[in-house]
Amino acid sequence: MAPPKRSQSSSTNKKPLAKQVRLTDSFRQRKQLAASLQSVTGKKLQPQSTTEVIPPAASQITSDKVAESAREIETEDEVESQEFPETPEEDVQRETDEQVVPVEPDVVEPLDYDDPQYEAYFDKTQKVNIAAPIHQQGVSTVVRILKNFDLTAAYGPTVGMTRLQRWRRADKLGLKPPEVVYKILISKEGKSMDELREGYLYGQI
Amino acid sequence: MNIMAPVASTSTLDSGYLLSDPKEDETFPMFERRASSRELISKYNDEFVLKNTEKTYEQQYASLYFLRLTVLKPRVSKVAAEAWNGMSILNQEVKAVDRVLDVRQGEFCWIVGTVYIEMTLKPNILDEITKEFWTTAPISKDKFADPENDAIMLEDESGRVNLVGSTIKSELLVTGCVVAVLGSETTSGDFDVVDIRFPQLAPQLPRKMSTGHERKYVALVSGLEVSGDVHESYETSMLFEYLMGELGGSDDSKHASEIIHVIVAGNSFSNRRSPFSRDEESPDNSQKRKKKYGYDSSSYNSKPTEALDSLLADLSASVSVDIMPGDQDPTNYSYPQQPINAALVPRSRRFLGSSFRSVSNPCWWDIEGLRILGTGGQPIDDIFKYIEGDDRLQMMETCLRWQHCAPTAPDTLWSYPFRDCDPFILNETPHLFFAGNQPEFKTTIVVGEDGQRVRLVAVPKFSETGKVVLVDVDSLAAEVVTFALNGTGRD
Repeated sequence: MAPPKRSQSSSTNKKPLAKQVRLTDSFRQRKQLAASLQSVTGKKLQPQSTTEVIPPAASQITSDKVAESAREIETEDEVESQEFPETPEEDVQRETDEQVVPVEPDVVEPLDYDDPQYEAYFDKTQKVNIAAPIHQQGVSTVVRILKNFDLTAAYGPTVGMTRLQRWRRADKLGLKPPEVVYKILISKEGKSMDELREGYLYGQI
Repeated sequence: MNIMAPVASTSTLDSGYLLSDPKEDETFPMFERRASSRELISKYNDEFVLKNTEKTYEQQYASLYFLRLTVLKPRVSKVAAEAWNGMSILNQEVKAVDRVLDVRQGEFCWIVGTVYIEMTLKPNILDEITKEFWTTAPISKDKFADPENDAIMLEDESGRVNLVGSTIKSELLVTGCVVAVLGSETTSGDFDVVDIRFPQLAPQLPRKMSTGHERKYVALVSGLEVSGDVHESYETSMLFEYLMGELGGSDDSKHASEIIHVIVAGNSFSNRRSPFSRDEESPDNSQKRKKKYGYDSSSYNSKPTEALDSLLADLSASVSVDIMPGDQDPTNYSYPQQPINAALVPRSRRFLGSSFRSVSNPCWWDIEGLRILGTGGQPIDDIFKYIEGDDRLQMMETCLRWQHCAPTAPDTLWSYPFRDCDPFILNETPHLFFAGNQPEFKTTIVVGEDGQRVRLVAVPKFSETGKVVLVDVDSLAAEVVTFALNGTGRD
């Protein structure tokens, strides 16, 4: 079975890839699968378990092409544990986040901005403040949590690395960075949106 | 410290052997080198060798200092707690204070931080910018230390505090080492130091002593400065012949056969320009010189590389060799230096994977159970510039006690801005710690609190002294073999 054709938009600024390399083919297949599932089902991905890939039974896949891709992917377990670089430039500039404990779940979940646990966690961190925050109307709790994580001096400098890299570094050094921040950073928006993925000084320094 | 007497061919057999008539039924015993394991400790070396795809310069050096303090702070706190917990000065119990800025006047406490020494004589880039209307030729000095005017400070994430007191003046400190100090705050806001503690020697792996009776040596040589022209020193070819067992009588060959590994530690390439290319240069010619590929290829002198390559290729056929770069070698200048590209030495490159290896500077080895940390000498030379004393062995010992082999990086020793780990932190103490390109040969044994024993060796420059150091793998004894021509005045 031939691998599905790559969409034009995803190959404009990428390096030419060897056709025989199955791993990189699967990256694209997974991305397309995610995109096509979303368009087919009309709702965001809600996988039932975190250990499986995208279980075909849970989503309403009708297209044969998409089902084919799903079957191919399930056999390549090692692909699942890697992080998706967004652009080829990032491949070169940023080191891929190695698999240090904790291991990321196989599926990238979307971020629920209104999760009450974020509100509770943030209120706990703000107990040390003596005054109310200013100029923060309209800023979501998630963004405030991440900025608070950036400003915590105990985890080191923030310039020049993504928040997830800083989190992993703090984890490796035994500084026990908060799990809540980790959950936000490995979500789908946490990996794709600059506002969440990068430190608050991104673009300025 | 003891300076070992040079061991040359002083056996009574050899003095007459080379000058005697050939005998009728003489047999020439063939000595063989025993196969030995000589590996690089990859968990440390992998951090020195930076992959091109992973190198980024977006981060700042603050990450490196943060990593250093975070890793070394618990270690030095442990030593300080053991020393000072329960102690009371002037009927006051001393206590640990978490942040440097939280010290209170009149309270005796101890704090941990990174030392920063504000040096008045240290060349400062800002001076050049402010003096834009007039320039003076910079006075090149050997040392930039000025003990009366230098201010020693202790810094951590919260801030800095000035350290004063006679205890701190007598201690060997450089910018970048992590220490714990006990004292109290004075009225002027400075911290008056009563006592100071270092992390001390890291734990050491026990040595696996071999059961055989043969001796094994690791040969250390640095500063070869092979130039390849007609003025090439004869001592260099004597050295290589000796290491291959071709020099001297059978006793010398036997001694050379006991060398299981050779480490060429830095500055193997001479950077002297070829005398011939300069003579042919005339004012008319220089304008006509073509610049192909953006550089003038006629001024490139390939003789040092070719000469070194042929020497190393011959040597690699006989003994396993590691070549480590020094500050004059064709690799990057910043510390840690990446391994010299083997494409520069094509004939030796054929032995890559078997007996020839190009390693980074610094480098960790495990040779038959002996764990070695070697540097090309740059961190020690840098520390020398910023302290008062001359004692290189004391600087090396203090590096071990600070658990950091290059504390002045990145302040004055150029370094890569590491983001995830500081690879110069010593997580274990080696059995042999050597620094190449030092002015003279010195060696000693350092003993730690937990019984660690380290042999420190300052390897001298071969081009100046003609000495190669042999370290016995089992007994940690260090010998030196000197090569000199009669009448050249070397000892």
